[in-house]
Amino acid sequence: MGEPALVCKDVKKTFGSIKALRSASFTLEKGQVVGLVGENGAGKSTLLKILAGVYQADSAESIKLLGKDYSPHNAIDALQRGIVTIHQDINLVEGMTVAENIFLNNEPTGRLGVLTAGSLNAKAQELLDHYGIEVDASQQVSRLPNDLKKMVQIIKAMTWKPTILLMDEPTSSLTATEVDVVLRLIAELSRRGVAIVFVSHYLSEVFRICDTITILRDGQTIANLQKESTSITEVVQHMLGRKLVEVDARSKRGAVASNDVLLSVRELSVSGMLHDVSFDLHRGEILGFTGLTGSGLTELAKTLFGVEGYQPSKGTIAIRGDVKSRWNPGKAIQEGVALLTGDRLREGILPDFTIAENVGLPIIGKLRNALGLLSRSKIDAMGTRCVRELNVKAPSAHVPIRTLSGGNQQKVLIAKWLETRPQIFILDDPTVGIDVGSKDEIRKIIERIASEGVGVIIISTEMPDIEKLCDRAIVMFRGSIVGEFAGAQLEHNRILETSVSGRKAA
Amino acid sequence: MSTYTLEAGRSNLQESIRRSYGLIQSVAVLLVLVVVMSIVSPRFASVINIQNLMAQMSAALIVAAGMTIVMINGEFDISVGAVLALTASIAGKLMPEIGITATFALALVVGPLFGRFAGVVVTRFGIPSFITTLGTMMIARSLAFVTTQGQVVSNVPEAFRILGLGRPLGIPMPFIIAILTILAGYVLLNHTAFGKKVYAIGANRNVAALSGINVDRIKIICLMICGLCASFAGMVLLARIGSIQADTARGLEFEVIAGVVIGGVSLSGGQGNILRVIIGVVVIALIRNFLNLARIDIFWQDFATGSIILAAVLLDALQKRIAGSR
Ligand SMILES: Nc1ncnc2c1ncn2[C@@H]1O[C@H](COP(=O)(O)OP(=O)(O)OP(=O)(O)O)[C@@H](O)[C@H]1O
Ligand SMILES: [Mg+2]
Repeated sequence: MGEPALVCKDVKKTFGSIKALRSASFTLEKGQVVGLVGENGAGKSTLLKILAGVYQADSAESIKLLGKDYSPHNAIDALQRGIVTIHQDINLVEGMTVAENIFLNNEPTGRLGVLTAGSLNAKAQELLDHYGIEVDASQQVSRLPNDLKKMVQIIKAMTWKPTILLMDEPTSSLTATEVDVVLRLIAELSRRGVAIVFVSHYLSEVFRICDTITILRDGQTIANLQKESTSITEVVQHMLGRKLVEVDARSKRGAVASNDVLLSVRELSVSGMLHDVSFDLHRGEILGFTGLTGSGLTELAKTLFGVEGYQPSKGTIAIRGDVKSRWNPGKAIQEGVALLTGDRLREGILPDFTIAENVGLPIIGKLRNALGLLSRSKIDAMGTRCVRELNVKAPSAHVPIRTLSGGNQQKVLIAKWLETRPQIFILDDPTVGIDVGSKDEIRKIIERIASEGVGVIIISTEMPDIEKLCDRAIVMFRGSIVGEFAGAQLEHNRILETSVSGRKAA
Repeated sequence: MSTYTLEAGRSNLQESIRRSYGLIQSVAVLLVLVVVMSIVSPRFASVINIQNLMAQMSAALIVAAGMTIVMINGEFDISVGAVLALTASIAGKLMPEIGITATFALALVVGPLFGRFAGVVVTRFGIPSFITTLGTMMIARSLAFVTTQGQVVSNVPEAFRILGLGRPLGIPMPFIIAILTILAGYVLLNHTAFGKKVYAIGANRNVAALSGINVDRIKIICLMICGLCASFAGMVLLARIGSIQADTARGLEFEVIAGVVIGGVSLSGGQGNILRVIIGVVVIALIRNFLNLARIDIFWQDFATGSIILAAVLLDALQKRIAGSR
């Protein structure tokens, strides 16, 4: 096999007093795929960022790239040595077109060194078509749904012709078909000799494409395992340092949902996005919405929450029987509606605000002391409670939220909306980036609030979320409802088939 | 768990040091400036000069309080100089007729009205505040000329002038008023829900809106507060000088914006500390004063101030880049 593509030995990195990496080691052979797994905050992204030149390691026994010492000073350094990274957060320029983004800083120069927009678009389109991604290269990135942005980010990485590819949760928020595209792409690259690091919380994917699995816990490499000689259970046990309490696939909560209608939507249409959507949400019900890209799921969530730019052109939204007009997020929150948005970076966190301040934002007006001023103690108490209850890995609730790992930021956002004590809780892609252990905790929280009478809407393209958690699932296709499943019917093959075909399976 | 609490204590300390790093740095710059100036020009450190300086910079400080709020919110208001002049002109005309109290009440409505108008245009039609307030600036300036008919307005009642000429403990009254205004701004920005909303909108208006914050309303209020500060500054200036001309405070907006930026407020909004803005405004005032004392040709003065502003902004950008790549 020759010398390995990349060897890391005993890499250490601290941020202030936080030890993000205590001792991380792994070896990557040419043409191999290493799965890098671990809990939220274990240090996966930090390790990749060091290899990508974003951060510098505090110390390392050695990092060798093809046998030579490797310590990139910046991202360009890393790129020039053939190490290309797909970061956990989508880092495209929103105001630019897909084509401009794909070739940003890497313009394929024409014969005269100049390139027309037309030929740039054509080249980008060629790439997109090659991978079967239905996106118009001349479109602005800001108009794309999350999953397509992620796909564009992945295509962009391809144009750098990596010899080593680092992928930080590339498949989160993708639909099943897109995941297939990415996994096939990985297989194809590794066949061509590209060495790949694949970070993911989806262990089934890890087991499908990786040759070896490296497990990080608290910044330390716990084990390097060959895929053939291990199992998901063993990996999870290493990740958590304990056995995961077995949750059976359907710990159905019995029929908790009542007949009280909390939310009633009739013939709701938003031009170009939604067509005649009608459904009811009951007290205590967990209702799933799923579908492919462009099926209008995120748009439906935003319309229900009254977000600017999503005004219904037709139809009604009624809450506890009252039809709402001139609806906006402020009013929605007052009426007990909460929306966890799918785009954590752009629509979720305020990076420089502390954890506590992020959590308090929707109810900031209520956090006052006797003088009518902002009550630090109330904010602090709330922040601290959230950190504890959701097991957020952070030194305190007073650190800026940007210093948290991706999964931990997501937990804070869930806490933020739980603090508004919602009656109707809409969650768009709630478990994105969240580790296996925490996923179950979050599912338990959702089940608990539902049993307390909250109506929950879960928007997800992840079948396990829909299958395990929901009482009922609605499938959307191009902005319309095309199928509804409940009870024994609620089963992922049927749902998938309907999602793809746009017709309810017989 | 126990190790966490220990570490938390330390990191909080580090965090607060890191956070006040900017403040410490600007105080240092200020001190160096003062020392150098007193060496170069002995007159600089005289009590009279310092008192003059304090009085002179008070209008800019009061306006800076409002500007800071608007800029943290992610907008600009360049109508402040003109609104100041208009308010003072109207007040100067009215005061002999209707008395001090009534004039005060009326004058303090001028700025908020302009702010509200600009705010509605900005939020309803999505026009950048820089352009909108360029328009209101010209309108206000023109109205000031109409009001005064191009004449100097004087005969302000003596009782009113205490506001501008008083010197408790030797400190000029306008300066005390200015500092109190900044402190009010500090409480508003840091200890009220409103202030948090202002920061949140500046940091990311989508996140703010999705958290139920009425973005348009807060933006309008910010511009109204800024207008109020401009009008208030106009009153204090009128009391200090005792007379007013329609073209008073021309260019004040840029001096104030420069001070605010040197004071560390991000040009794109969402970040900044109003207390540090005091230092920014003082630095600009010191430089102007120094150029005067050193008898630098008036035509070169803006050149010098402009260069210093550029240097400050560049330094800030450089630091951000270094911090970002760490
Ligand atoms: N810039 C930073 N400043 C301070 N602490 C940081 C910073 N970046 C990461 N950390 C901390 O380092 C630890 C590791 O974070 P990292 O992002 O590597 O985790 P991760 O394994 O990628 O987790 P996730 O699965 O949630 O993405 C966390 O405790 C995090 O809070
Ligand atoms: Mg990560």
